[in-house]
Amino acid sequence: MNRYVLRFYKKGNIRFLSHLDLVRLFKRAVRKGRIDVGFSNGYNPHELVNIVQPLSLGYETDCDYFEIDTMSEHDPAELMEALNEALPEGLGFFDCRQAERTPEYLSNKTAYALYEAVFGLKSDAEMPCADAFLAQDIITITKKDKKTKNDVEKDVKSFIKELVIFRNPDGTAAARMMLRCASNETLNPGKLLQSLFKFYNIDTDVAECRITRKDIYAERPDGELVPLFRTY
Amino acid sequence: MTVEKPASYIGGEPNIILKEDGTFDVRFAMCFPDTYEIGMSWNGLSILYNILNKTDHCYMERVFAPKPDMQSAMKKCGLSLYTLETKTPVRDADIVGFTLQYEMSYTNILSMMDLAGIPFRSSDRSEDDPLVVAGGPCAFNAEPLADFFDAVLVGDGEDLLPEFCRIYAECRKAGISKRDSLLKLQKLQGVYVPSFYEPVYENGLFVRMDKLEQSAPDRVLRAFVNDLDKIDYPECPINPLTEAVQERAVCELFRGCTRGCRFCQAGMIYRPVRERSWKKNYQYGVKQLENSGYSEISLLSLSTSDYTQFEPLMLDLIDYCKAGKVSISLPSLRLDNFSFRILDEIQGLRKTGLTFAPEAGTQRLRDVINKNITEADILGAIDKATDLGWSSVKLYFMIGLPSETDEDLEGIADIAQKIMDLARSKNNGMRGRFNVSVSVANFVPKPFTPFQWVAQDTPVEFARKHDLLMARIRKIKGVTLHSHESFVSTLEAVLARGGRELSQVIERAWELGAAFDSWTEHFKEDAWRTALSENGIDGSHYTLKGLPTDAPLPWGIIDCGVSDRFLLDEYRKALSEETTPDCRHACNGCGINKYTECRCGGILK
Repeated sequence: MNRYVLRFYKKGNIRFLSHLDLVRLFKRAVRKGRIDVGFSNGYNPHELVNIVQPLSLGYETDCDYFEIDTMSEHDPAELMEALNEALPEGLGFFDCRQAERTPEYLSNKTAYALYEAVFGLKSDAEMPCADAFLAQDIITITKKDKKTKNDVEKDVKSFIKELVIFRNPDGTAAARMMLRCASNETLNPGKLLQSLFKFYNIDTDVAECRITRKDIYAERPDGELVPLFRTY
Repeated sequence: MTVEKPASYIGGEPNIILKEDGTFDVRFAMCFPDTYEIGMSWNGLSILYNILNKTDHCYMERVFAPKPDMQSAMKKCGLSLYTLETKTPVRDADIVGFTLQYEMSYTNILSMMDLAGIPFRSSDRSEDDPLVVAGGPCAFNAEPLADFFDAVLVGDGEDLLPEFCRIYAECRKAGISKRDSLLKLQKLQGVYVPSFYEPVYENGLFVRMDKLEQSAPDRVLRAFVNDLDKIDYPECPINPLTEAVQERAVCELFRGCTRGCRFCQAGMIYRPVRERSWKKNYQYGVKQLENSGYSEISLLSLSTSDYTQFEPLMLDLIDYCKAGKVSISLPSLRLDNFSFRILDEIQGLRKTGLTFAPEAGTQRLRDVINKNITEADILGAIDKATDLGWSSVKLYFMIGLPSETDEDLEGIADIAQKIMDLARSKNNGMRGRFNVSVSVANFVPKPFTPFQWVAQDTPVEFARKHDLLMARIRKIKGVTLHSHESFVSTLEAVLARGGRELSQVIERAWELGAAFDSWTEHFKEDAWRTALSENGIDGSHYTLKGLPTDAPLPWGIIDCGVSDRFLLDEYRKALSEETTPDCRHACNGCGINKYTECRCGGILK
């Protein structure tokens, strides 16, 4: 079998498509494109495809990753074109490369993801500086416990690699965040913003921020972050 | 502001059709009065979308009922209901069409008109408002909604709807008023214009329909499609973005049914049986799979194994689907030998549930309803099913059927018991588990069936029957009982057989907050109870008490093609426990061949 890794964007209204719906959409695109995708063994064979890191509903992405195993070898450009045929507006693959077929998916290699969030700020409002926020001993976010459904607080300070806030020329504010995004630990940028807004008393609904994932990164042994596409 | 499942409101799905403004004459907003997930599973939408959009004169766009959270969000930001394709306000469409699939979706029609900013009543709408029309199975008695619609389209829509739109487009171009357009449109077979008639009541009972417009037909005959092979069928179904209830390629094997079950409206109003040839079905099925990327195909009909070309279709389809890892779903299958072989083959090791619909617990009552299935049939099928490895079975029954006694209810428990005994004996009472799920629905008499005159059980009586069944079934290990909320069934009966006096009940219930009535979590019983009592509708109302067989019926303005005489004969035969054979054994003279060719009368003789 052969493995291909594709990079895709998801912009505009289609950002409202959930992760599971996106998986279904990609699987259909594979069938529609008549790609000879591999299937798992077992009772309920399923297509050997993988979206490397799920993206929260409502977020856009400039660069997410999709892996697919095929029975025969394909010209990457043709494979990408066949898959793009079946995608709705706002969603598209822009890069496709053959990769070594390893037992593990790239999902196990990811370490951080870079996000950019744009939010409204009153023109006379003071521009918050991230330093005070980052200087806290612990940085807590509120999330729902999966089992009990209760709100629980969680310290995520160690999950923040970088946080910069700046003002856009149009007066809106933006945050650039490099956050933990690994298979076992992730920090949702919306949750962090919520915490940040609370800290600085910013009266903005996180649901109204435009959040974009810029890329996903792997971490070299020396701590250097590299975009995932440089690792395969 | 956040809403659940926002992907159901964005449109832009693969395979949608986009048309530029100015390239068509009529914009038709096809409204499904329930959620996206449910509406996108409706095959009729796929059929009409394909047919209407292939014409040059018309552009059909889809609209679904936004869920309550989206409705409040839309109201909050002043967003009017829009079409999914081009996000055009529904109010700006030339024609707004609602499909009437089930009674409990009626209040959503008002919610959608409200969100669109369209006045509810046709008499309150101006020349600038869209023409509001309706179709679908409940259009056979649209009287409860008659005040809301300019026209009701009854019967098969494939030929009628494009023609309706074409004529309306011509009228609009010529600057003809709505009323004068309707005068032209009513000449089409299947078009009913409620405002051209006025029902007359005496002592709360419907006595006759007066014509307000002399040229209006005395009775509106339903529209027919005579040959399914000659009409277009979708090859490129729209892929719903967010998970729909049914997401699969669909072959419509045939329309109609020859079995003649007396409670079944579909079995009467879709007569005669019209088959699509198996080669066409195969081609459409494969094309749909290829163009959609679906991994499941379903064969649709009222009784799949009655399809005369079932074997050749299945043999080819199974080959294709095995190669492409596509699963096949076969609803409404009778479990004869061939069906078992097929099921065994397509389900392989993983057996999903088997379903039977005996509908009644004793042979006597099954004869009354003309449900041609015997206890021996069921037990024989279970015998085979356990051999082949099935371990669960679902049984569907109705309670409150005409002439039903407690003995018939005991019969339901008896069947469940016998199935369990049989299953246990096969496994020597030791190995594995076997489950029987018994589901009882409350009988709702429907127009254009032989039971259209009968009274419905009261909620108290339904409750007593549920208790009686529960007491019996609780004692049988491995059997579970599911029943339905009685008040919802009462409402269904009122809305199914009501006349125009119901329009204000529906509007009132909606004002009081009723919407998404088929969703248990949204159903507002109090709103309906208030609306009914304010309008003097209680258990003694004709919609619940039953109707005399010699008086006119509110829905008599529609002619479904089956003769009144046949329905009445069938009712009388039911009361004397006499069965009527399947039409394929002998023509029973239902009268449909007066209007269209019936190709199944006596073919098995």
